[in-house]
Amino acid sequence: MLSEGTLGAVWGPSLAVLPTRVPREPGCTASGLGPISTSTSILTGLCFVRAPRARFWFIVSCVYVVGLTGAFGRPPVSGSSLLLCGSGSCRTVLAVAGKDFCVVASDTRLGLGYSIPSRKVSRILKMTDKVVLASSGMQADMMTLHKTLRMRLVKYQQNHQKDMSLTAASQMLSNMLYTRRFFPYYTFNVLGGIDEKGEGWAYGYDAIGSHEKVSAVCSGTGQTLIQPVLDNQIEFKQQWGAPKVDLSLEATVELIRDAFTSAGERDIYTGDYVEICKITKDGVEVEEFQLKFD
Amino acid sequence: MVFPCLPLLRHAASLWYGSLCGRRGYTMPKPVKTGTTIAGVVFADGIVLGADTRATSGSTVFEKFCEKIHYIAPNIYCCGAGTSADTESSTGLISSQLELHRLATGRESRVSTSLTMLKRMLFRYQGHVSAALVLGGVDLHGPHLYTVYPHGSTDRLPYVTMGSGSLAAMAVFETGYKDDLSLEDAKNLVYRGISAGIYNDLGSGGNVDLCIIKRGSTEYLRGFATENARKYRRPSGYAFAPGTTAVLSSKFTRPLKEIAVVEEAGVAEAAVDGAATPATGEMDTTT
Repeated sequence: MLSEGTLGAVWGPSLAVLPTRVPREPGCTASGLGPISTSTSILTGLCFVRAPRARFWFIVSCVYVVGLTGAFGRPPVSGSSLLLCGSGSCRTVLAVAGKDFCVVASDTRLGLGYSIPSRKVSRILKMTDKVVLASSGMQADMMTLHKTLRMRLVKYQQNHQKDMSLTAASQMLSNMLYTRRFFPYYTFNVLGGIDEKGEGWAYGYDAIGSHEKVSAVCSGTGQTLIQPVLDNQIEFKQQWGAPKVDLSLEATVELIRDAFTSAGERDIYTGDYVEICKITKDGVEVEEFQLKFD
Repeated sequence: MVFPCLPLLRHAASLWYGSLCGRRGYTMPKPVKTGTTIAGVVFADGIVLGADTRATSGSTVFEKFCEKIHYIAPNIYCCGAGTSADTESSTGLISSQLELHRLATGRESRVSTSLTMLKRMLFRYQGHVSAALVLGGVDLHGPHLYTVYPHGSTDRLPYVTMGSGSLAAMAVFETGYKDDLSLEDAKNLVYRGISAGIYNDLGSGGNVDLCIIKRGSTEYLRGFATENARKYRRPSGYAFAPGTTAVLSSKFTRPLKEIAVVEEAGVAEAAVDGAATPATGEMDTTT
């Protein structure tokens, strides 16, 4: 929880240790979210733009940015992962849904070019007791998106006196991404959880809000390595005549551990640790699984 | 005077052509690079060379256990970083020329000879052959350790590193290097340097290979440290029941009952035909 007046802390690394980001102990609810000083930063931002000279430079810089993107084309939404990782970090995230559970997982390596700025950065946001979000893409955009999402979740909880459902959360995320249609958040999200009927579902997103309700999805640098395995093992694609059995929670977690281990063998940006969030009707349980450090 | 501005024009033209190619979607094929950590140290009796074993193509690991310490002569070895085709072919070329040179002269190859041959060849290609090398060996003048840069410049130093993990490895060498190290200490120093590259540079990974060159003996320690083997496998495995792959159509052809084998053949062509016949015959009968 941030104290008022420490605005600098909003942008600093202290954001990563906010207790609301994937609580280590199970059973921590979203209502435990503290007042976030985002409102302070927005106010300061407005005041800044209200000052005449500052407003002039603000407009000039806006025109400059718009002009640049107009002249040289839109910022790439998908590209080589080397390019992507040059702008911050990239990550492998996935969500696999079962009959009455969902598993959301992400590795924790932060890669930048050929360096590793950090081996343990969480990119998973526990939205409610039944909804978990994992984002790959640019680290700074992910932090902003998660911060705004947390704010919206608290407002929803206080207005409606209940947690947001999985379907509501999935639509809200899509709307938030589409509001930035022409200057998107450079994030590729996967959302997983349990819906009102108690069924597990996963949602996959592009950077500007197009989404799809699926049973298994993966995005990030390891996407091309892991998605075919999920298609084959979860949806039994390319398996003619094979009985379509539902995997148990433990079997699903074993598959995810294996998928991340394999991706870590061949993708240089996947490694260090995997955070595996198991979402059941009893809440969210987080497991940490070690990968290779090379 | 048109001549002086010709390179500029050519440059502009190549830029224009490059942008055209980019727009049309034609790009040069991407070669496999060994984003690498390679290093070498001079110790009391000779040279210790070290390398990691990862070869990458973009952000994909192309090869997990590749060999980056190349043979030049029995008393000379060379670590290569850069485009792996370039490092392999340039060390191979120099190695073969030195072999012929040894046969012609009957003397042991000298490290400085191989150095000069490598740098002349690389300079001729103006840096387009992207091979960054660590060259080490022992000859009649004692131990020698060199680095060779892709444009053909060279350094002669007591401890050297190269590749994308060179800074990580050099940090270790600057801390730990002393003159006249023992063999064990030198091996340990190189191992620690390469490990620093493996763990802190994404372009490097896998095992540590070492090569120890002393007067009259060379020891190649492939897989000196193997700390990065796969740790986890799914307990249930991936067994697919027979018939999981759909059979769209099938056709069986009976094998030929009688196969004539013609033994006598006068011409060379006929002999080749004759030799081929029993082989196919055998395959048909066993299936």
